[in-house]
Formats: sequence, C-alpha cells, structure tokens
Amino acid sequence: MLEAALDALFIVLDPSRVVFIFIGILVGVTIGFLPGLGGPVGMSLLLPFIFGMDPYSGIALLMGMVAVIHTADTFPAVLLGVPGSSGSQATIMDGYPLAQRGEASRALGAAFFSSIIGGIIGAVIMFFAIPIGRPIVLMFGSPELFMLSVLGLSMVGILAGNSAIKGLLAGATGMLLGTVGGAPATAEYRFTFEWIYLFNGIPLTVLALGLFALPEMIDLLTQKRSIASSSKLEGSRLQGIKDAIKHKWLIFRSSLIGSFVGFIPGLGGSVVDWISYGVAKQTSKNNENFGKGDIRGVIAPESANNAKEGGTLIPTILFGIPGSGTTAILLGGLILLGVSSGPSMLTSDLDVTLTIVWTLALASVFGAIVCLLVAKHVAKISLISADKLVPFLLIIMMVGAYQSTRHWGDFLIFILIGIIGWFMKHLDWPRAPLLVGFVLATSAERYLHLSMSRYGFEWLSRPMVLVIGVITILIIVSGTHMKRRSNRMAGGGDHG
Amino acid sequence: MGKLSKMLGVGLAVLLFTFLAACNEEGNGGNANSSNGDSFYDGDDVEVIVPFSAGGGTDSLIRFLSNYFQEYTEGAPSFQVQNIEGGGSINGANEYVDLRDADGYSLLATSASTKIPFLIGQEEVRYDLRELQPVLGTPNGVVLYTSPDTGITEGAEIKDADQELTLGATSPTGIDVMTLLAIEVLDIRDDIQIIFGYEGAGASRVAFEQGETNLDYQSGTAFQSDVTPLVEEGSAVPLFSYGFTDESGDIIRDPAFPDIPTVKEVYEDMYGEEPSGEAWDAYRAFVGVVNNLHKSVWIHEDAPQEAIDALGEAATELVQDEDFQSEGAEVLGNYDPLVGEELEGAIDSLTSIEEETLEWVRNYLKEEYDVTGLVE
Repeated sequence: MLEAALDALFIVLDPSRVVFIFIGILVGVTIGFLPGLGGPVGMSLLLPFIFGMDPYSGIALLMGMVAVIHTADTFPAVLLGVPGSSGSQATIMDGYPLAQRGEASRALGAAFFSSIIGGIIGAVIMFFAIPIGRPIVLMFGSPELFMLSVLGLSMVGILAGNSAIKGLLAGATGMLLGTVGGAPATAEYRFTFEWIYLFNGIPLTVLALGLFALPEMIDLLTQKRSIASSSKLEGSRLQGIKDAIKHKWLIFRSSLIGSFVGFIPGLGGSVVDWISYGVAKQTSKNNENFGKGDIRGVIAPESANNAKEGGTLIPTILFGIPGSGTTAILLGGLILLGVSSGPSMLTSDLDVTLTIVWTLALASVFGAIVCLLVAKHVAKISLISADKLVPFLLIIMMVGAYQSTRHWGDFLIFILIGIIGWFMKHLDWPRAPLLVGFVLATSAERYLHLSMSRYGFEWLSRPMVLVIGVITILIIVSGTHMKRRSNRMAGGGDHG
Repeated sequence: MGKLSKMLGVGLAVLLFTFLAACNEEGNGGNANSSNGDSFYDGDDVEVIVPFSAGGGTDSLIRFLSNYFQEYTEGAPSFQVQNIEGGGSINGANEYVDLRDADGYSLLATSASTKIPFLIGQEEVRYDLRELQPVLGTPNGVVLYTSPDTGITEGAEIKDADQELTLGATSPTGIDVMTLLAIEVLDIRDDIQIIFGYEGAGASRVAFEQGETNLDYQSGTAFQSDVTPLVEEGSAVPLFSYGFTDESGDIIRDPAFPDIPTVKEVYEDMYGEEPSGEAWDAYRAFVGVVNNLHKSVWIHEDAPQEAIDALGEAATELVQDEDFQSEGAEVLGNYDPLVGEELEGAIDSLTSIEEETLEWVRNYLKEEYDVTGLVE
C-alpha cells in the first residue's frame, strides 16, 4: 500500500493538478470566510466545473475546497463571533472573547496552526483506517449510535455555564426544535403547521446564524463600537503558534476525537467541534477561563474540525453513506467523475482513494498557510466601528441563510431565532446547549427507535453500549465534581 | 488600514456573488419570439428544475445529460439546472406545475421519490404526472436479498426461514411502498418484521452488513456496486427482483439481472398460479412508473408541440452517441435509457393507472401502516 501511496502522491503533484488544488483552496477560503456558507455551498459551486475532468484533477479541485473550509471559517468565528460554517461553532466560545480583548491575531495564529496539524493527523488516520475501515464502521449498529448521541448530548452539561438547569432547558429546547419536520421513524410531519418549508426541519445554518450572529450584530449596533474594545491590536500570529505548540497534546487529542467522530456515519459532523471543546474543557487544568478567552478553547475545536474531514470520508468512500452534507455532495461529484463509492475503492479504485488522502493533507497545509498570511490584515476587521461593518455583514448573513433552501422561510426563521438568541444572550442563558440539542435530536430519536424496534431492551447489554455509557457517566460526574471544586476555589463567585 | 480589510471582504463577496450568479442563472428563456430560424430553440436557455440538492443522484444524472441535450437539440439551447429542494422533492415539482409557463423553456427532473408521493396521494402534492410529458427516462430495478444465516436460498422459501426475518426500511411513504406492495402480493407480511427509520438505502444496507437486519433491498445500480461483492463472498443471497413492465403491463425480468427471478415467478413457485387482485394491480402500476421511468425528464403536456418534438428527437439521438454510452455506464448502470417508442409504452402504463388502484393503495397504507396526510 505504501508503494501505491507514493504513486498517488506523484499523481497529485502533477503541476496541472496542483493548480486545481489551489483553485479549490481559493474557493474554500472565500466560502469559509463568509458567514453561513459552508461545504455544501462550495461543493454545489464547483460541481458544474468538474465535467470532463479526469478523476484526479476533479478530486484535487473538490478536496482542495473541502480541506480549507473549516480552516477559513475561523475568521468570522473569531473576529465576529459568528459561525463561518457549521464546523466552527465552538470556536466562537473563546475565539471571540480573545478578539474582543484585541488578541484576534493570536487566536487566528493558534487556530490555523492547529488546523494544519489537525488536517495532517486526519489524513494520516484516514490512510491507516482505509484497510480496516469497513469492520470498524460495521461495529457501530443502531444501539451504539444512540449511545454516541447521548454522549454528545452530555456536552450540554459542560457547556451550560453557571446554571445546570438553564443548560438543560436550553438543550431540551434545542431537541424540541430538532423534532420539527418529517419524523425519522414514522410517516408523520411534526410542528410543520402545514408549511412545506418546515418539512425538512429548520436548516442548521439558519439556526446557528440566528442564534449567534444576529444578537451580536444588534448589540454592536446599539453600542456603536468596534468588536475589539481597545483600538490597538495586541498579540501576534507568532504568539498564537507558540500557544498551539505549547498545547501540542491537546491538538493531538482533539484531532483523534475529530477523526473518530467523523468516522461514525449518521452522527453528523456538526457536533465534532462541540465534543472536542467540551472534552478539552473537562480534561484541562485551570479551566475556569474557558468561555472567557482561553486559547485552548480555540485550539481544541480547530484541530478537531479539520481532522474530521479525513474521518467522514471513510464511510462516504467505503459504504457510500455520507458523514456530512459536504460528503453527500462529494459522492455525486465522484459519480460524475466516473468513480462509484463502495468496496471497489479498496481494490480497483485504490489510487483514487489515496489521491483523496494526499489532496486532503496537502490542501490542509497550503490552505492554513494562506490563511495565516492574510490573518494579520483581516484581523483589523475587529477594529472597524459597528455602523460601518454591521450593515455589510447583515447582508452577507442573509445571503448565507438564504442559501440553505432558497425559500423566504429562511429569512423568517433567521430573524425569529435571532430574537430568541438576543433574549437568551441578555438573560444569560447559554446558547451552545441549544445548538447541541438541535443537532443531535434526530439521530438520538432515530437510533433509539431503531434499537428498541430491533432489540427490545436487549441492546442495553451490548458491550460497546456499556463502554460508551460508562464514558458518558464519567464525563458528567467529573464535570459536576470539577465545577463544584472550581466554584469553591473561586469562593462561590460567579463566572462564565 | 480598516479600509484594506473591508475591501478584501468586499472583494471576496463580489467573487462569490459572481460564482453564485454564474451557477444559478435561471433559465431566462421565455422569449420564444427570439428564434429566427426553423428550429424552435435558438441558442436560448432552457431551465431544468431538479427538486433535489446539487450532487445527488438525480442532479448528477441531469447535469450529465444536459451537455448531450445541448449538443443534439436543434438550435442548441443551453440547459441550466435549477436545484429547488425541500419536502422530499415535492417542493420543486409543485413549483414546476404552479409557477412555470408551459412555453417549452422549462423542464422538470424527477426520481422515484418524486413519483411515490403522487402515486400514494400525499396531500401536499399539486402535480399530476399524467399531465406531464416525459422526454427521457432512465430505468432502474430493485433486488431484494437476504443473509445466508436465514437458510433461505431462493424466494419461494421465504416463509421457511431459520431466523425471524427483519427488513430495514425508511418510511412507509417513500420508495419503500413498492416493497410493501411486493410483500403484500406474496402474502408474507406476517413472516417479516419491518423496521422503519433508517436514514436511507445506504444506511439500511450497512445495517444488513452489521447483522442488525437480515433482509434488505437495493436499487439495481446500488446492488451492482455494493451488494454483488457480498454475494460473491457468500454473505448475501439475492431472492428476487421487482422486475419491469412490458408493453402489455406484464412483469418481466430485470435486464440487468437476467438470472434473478421476479416477484411474479416467486409467487407462481409458492402458490402455483399467477398473481392477481388489487395488490397485484397496484404493484404492477408502481413498477411501471417507478422502475421503468426511475429517473426522468418531463415537460408540460401543453408545451408547444415543436418544443416537445425537438427534445424528443434530441433524446432519441443522444442515446446513440458513443461518448454518451461509454461515459454514461457509471451513471446509468446496465440500463438503457428509454426514448421514442419505448418511452411511449411507459407513458401508456402511467396514464392507464386506474383511479381505483390508487385509492386502494391509499387505503391500504392508511389501514395497514397508519400513514397520515394522504388525500381522502
């Protein structure tokens, strides 16, 4: 396989294909930079151009774009507190406070460096997982997938901030919003009010933008200030890179989590950044600054969301079941290039698979370097005063929201969720648990239903189910324990 | 210096908008009087509504076809794909019949999941496929298979399985309806536990490989790429195909699987007579529409006849193209697209579906599978 890998490297390094990788990177950086536009939009844009290309060049173009979206989406997350795509939601938690302190360059430096390492680790894991990918994916039946959803939901407690009750309620509200639309197990539509827009549920992009972006924009406007409170930028990209190197084990750990969660089909790549953020917070010492501008809160999700791409490609390529919206479209792209997913990707089409791995690794590195180079200038966005910046951003976000389904309902839901988000922000309700609940609602329901109808209560005694269950309990227990301890140390003072 | 970053942002936005505009440009045809020559189309734009997201199976097929359509349609119009998603493809099809003029400059692409909601009478459906004219259809069959652990080696033994049979399915309103009808025809409903809720055909296939289920079905193209290797290694046993309908509405073998018997043959094996009755009529009607015309391109029935003719001729010619045949192998599986006379036969089977048959299916789904939201 090593020999085949070398052959594939030479295929990728063909000058004409390197050009395609860079075109992909350019598009990916642009799309990632614009709030609300993510991988699926980038894929749809590039798809028409891959006709008639040879498979390797087409893959260079598509994978170049995919690899950098979750690198570039860090710009809006850090600078504006707005998710650049569904992959960078957790970066907001600490990246934005850093930008508010004027340390945007540092946060971006750390984020991009973590992205490079995360992307490479993801590609390496993918390379080694290719031969054993099928049996591993087959280990996760419906009961195991349900338990993983529960594990994801346990992050609600960690992300809850001061009040566990508020966190739980926000998480439950998120799950409730997640039930809108076609039910996963029965032929029913729920809470759609006979409105066909809601048949497919509330689009994730619209919810995330409304929840985090609109409230921030409103507050920036009313306070008529720039995002950074100081008028001078402190901290440099270099300092951020040093931060990242200091926390190399965190990068490594988060990348492993990222690839692994991406690996599991049906869980959805959208929770990867939250899970790695939650785990980082939970397993770090002196974690009381998480949520207030701790650099580790940027490093963890950024390494994970780049490593994830390697993971999601395993079920996509080997089974033809996409792990995310982006890979769903990638499947279509592969068909157009004359490659069909499935077991043949391990045998006759192995060179195509290895090309994907190489492109992913190379594009991660190139893309992050491009981002690092422009970061210094782009970071100055945080100094622009709100009355000049917000109108422009609002239009971009509206376009981003509208790209979800291109139905006027996108605008309506965006504004409605935005108002709810504004109230939550000002009444000090945590918004992250709502998002996590929303993302996991469908898979939790689907896999619980499947487990019960297939196995009754027998599934509870499956070994993998028990293992994941124990991990979940450990995370919850250690969370409450650490919170109590840190509260005591801070003299019961409130923070977060 | 704030200016610089703002300019960068604006620059990026402009770049993106240009992209979006280039890709989403709506077929601004409509101006039929711009054609000067003899041909109906004269380099105009024809919009093709694809009610699915970009990159899906139907979208890929249509994007593949559109270049050939441009080449072979007289006047060489440019075919622009417009993705209108939502409502399990009902949205886009509704928009086509409600908001697009029958001027020949607008086409609709459908897949099986657009046809089933119409056939079972979902309340939201405002399109009647019998009032549309197909331009080209691509067939795709279905094969049902089981695990060797069940001890079953052929379709007729399905009632004598060693294990309880469990079938992974998505929902009793989608593509699964055909399987439900096949099960009803063979009268094996009591022998099979159907588990609804899998995300799609890919997920139910993985559940089969995991051993979570021991009965599964896949479309012909998916069977060739993903199940055939399982059959070869001895971990899957094909039981029957759903077949195709011929000109007289009879079920015949799937051309891609000439060695696998059809539901009809299995019934004859099991009961020693030909199948008949309401379930059988419904089954045949569904096979005719869903398998024979699995994915298809349609035009308004009342569009200008010149437009219908021009597109029909283009379809007949493009399937002869050697490049089309070699490049299309992956997209089309081992099925030849339906054009010309064969397409007429498929249209006949569509328009000849009796209202009573559709009503029987509706009531069946309501009573047996508690489906709601169907018209009365």
